[in-house]
Amino acid sequence: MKKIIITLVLSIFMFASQDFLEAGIGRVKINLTEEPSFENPVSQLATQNQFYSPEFAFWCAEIKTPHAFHRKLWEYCYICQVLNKNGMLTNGKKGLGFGVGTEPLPSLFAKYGVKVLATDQDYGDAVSQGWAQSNQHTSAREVLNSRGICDQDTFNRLVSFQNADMNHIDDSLKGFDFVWSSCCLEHLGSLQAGLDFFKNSLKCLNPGGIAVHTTEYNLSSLTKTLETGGCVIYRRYDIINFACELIEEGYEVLDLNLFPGSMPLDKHIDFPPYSYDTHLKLSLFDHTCTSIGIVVRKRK
Amino acid sequence: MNYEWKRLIINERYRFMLKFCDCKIWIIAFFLSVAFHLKAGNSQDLEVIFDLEPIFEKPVSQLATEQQFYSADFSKWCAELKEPLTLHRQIWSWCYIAQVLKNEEMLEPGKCGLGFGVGNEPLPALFANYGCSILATDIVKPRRSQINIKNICAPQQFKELVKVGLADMNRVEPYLQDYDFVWSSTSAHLLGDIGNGFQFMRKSLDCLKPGGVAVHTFEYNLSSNWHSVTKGPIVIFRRYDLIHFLLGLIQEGYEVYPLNLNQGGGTYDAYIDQPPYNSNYHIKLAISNLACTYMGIVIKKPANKFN
Repeated sequence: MKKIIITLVLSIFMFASQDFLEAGIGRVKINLTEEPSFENPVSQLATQNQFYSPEFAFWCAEIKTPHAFHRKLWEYCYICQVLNKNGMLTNGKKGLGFGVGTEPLPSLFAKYGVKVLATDQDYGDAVSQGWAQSNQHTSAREVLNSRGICDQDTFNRLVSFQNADMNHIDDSLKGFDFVWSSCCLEHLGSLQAGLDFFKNSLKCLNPGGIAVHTTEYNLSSLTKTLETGGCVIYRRYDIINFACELIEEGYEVLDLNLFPGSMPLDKHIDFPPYSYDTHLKLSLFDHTCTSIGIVVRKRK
Repeated sequence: MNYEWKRLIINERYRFMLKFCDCKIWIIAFFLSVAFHLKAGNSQDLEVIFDLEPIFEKPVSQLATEQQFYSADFSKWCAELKEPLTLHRQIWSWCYIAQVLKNEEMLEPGKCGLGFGVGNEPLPALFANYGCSILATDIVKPRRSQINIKNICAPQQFKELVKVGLADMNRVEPYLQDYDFVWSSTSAHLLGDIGNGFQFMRKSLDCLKPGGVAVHTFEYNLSSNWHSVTKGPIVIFRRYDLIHFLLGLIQEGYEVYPLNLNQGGGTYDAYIDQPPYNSNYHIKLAISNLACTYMGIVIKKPANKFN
């Protein structure tokens, strides 16, 4: 009997120790060969496999959007999944969203009891930069709940809106449990400006808080990319180097899984005019790219 | 259901439970979990570590730091090399290579080793002392008498096991094949160009048997990830180059040790030796205003990989 118990305890320990050993903070794993999983998200790319996850379908239903193979949808679901997995979508948490536009996320988070501050650039700037026409921008807070995800009373109580310049984040934005942005980093003018915004957004966090940002990732080249302009594309090394810098500054970066996926749609490159249902990898000014989500945690 | 049937079913259940509680099964489960554990240990990703000082006893790809000099294994290797234990990174490089090969069970009779850019270093004699047959190469033929000048290996054994040859690190010849391990100590940065250094390290893997190990040490840039000496007699490798190189190898199917970029917190880790170099505390030093030190990397060829 003793033998049984000892072997049992040891084998449980051996299984469990795997997790304990890997729970390092000042380290990051870079994986180029394994499919990323949607259920346990790390910093990862949009791949077709993740769209089949039941949790993905759950978040699609939550934001009242029909399931489609579109990377924008993946970004929303990925952000929700990361925040939910880390216990951020609970009553009393505070969230800050950058460049929200007409995203469904603020109202969804409000539904879960999160106090949300949604920010976006000034409407005047948006008009001058051509965002206003493309219907991606709004100055009105009400549009955030146009899908009726959250009941209006809760929405009014929990969601507030203000203008914020992502290149100069106001010092008053502090004390949040999580910050997020979906496809905003790449529109700030240059590779470095986007990464600077990422770093500055970490200052808005409480200790233990989480930042989730999604951006463009270059799949076609390790060297040639769009470095400046209205839309930039991050290369593999930009991401890895940035992660290393953050770790050296004392932040925790969730492991990087840079595997682009092996399913048919992962190999399909969508050319403009873009389709709605086969839009995971796309061609942007002759560069193949897709979305990457990066998760950073501030130490306690 | 009659009584007989019931009894039979209960009997069956009981037998099944007995089987399930059999400790043999748990012992098998235990070994399976161990195997799973070991297998998961070398999964195909590159782990970059910042929070842990490099440990000499269990080396990964790591930098020379002060703490490693105080390890018992380190002084053991110094004694075997008949070198005084000084805080000098050249000694670290030799001891590190020896420790990695020892841990990989390469320092055993019958193993074949190939050294690049050997010059006068004592490593071939040390490995021959463990019974490995060694081909020591350099761009000019190394002198056998110089390698074993401190009598690390018995002369007869040295004569039998160590051969010397010519090899240009910029053009690794295809006939150099089927070695259990290859090493180069502090020479990959002397090839004129950063690209040449990495090309050499990549080519050196073709000399390995499946299951073989390659260990290389070279100059690593501590002060900048961008500004570096990229061309010239001595180049300095950056994190940028290194991660890029290692990820490429992983994609090719090689096993790469985790990369520990911790620079160490010791007193002499903060001391940057300026030229003319003070030989007492020479772990970190300045080359063209860049702080640098030696880094060692370890690459394994999986047992199922044939060039």
